[in-house]
Amino acid sequence: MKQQQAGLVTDRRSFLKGVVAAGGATALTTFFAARLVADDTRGTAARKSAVMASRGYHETDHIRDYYRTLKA
Amino acid sequence: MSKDSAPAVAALEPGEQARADIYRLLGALLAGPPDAILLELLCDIRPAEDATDTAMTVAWQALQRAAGDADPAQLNDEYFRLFIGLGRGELVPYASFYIHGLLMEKVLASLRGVLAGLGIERQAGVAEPEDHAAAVCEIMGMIISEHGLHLRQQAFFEDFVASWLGRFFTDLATAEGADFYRAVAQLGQQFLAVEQRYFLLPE
Repeated sequence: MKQQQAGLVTDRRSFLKGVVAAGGATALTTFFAARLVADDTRGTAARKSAVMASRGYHETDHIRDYYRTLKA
Repeated sequence: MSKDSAPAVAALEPGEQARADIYRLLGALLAGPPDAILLELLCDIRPAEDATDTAMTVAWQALQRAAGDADPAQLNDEYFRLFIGLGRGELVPYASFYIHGLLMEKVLASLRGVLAGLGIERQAGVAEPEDHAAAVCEIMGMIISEHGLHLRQQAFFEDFVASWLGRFFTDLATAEGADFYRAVAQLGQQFLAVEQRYFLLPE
């Protein structure tokens, strides 16, 4: 029995193509990327720190220390 | 494996980026009334010619129209009436309230524990509890975006988004004081429906 029929979405990537095409998503990426650059004052991973700085969440010091000391 | 020697993080797939950004947008709109820049962005929303998700397209178009009709002063008043008020707003946008009927409840403690495990905490000076609708949306966007957190998103969605946010958007859509935010609620409702379907599909 065929798992995929014509027009039937069976995986997330295909499903999300509709979300992207519905409108707004592409413009949002540009908007939030610009805001991340503008807000980043911590010098760490730009995306995470800037988003957290804009709304109040950030990576904890002990997590950064953990990653720094983590051995392969 | 040292974080310093970890492989470079691949850029997100467009669909995943879209999910993260829509959560961020909802978070931004629920955290406060949109400024002129964000309103201008919303006014310029255009669906692609090959758009197939009718419900999402309709929701985006409603938000576009609402942004075009919005008056900044009235937006501030609307936001205040809906979410702040004198004592409380028309709505109480916290997971604790929707799940337990009271503020600062068990779900907030659970959320704080999860955030600690994810390495996320409030910055100093931020007074809002983490189970505010805006914060939950922002955190979900972060989890989708961050390579190290991406695998945690379904658990977070089930525990802290799907459990109450849909009911909140339903209340927002029918709130007496909602005008612009009725369109925000419509986008939120349709997007959560998308998310529910997304998590049922194989990766």
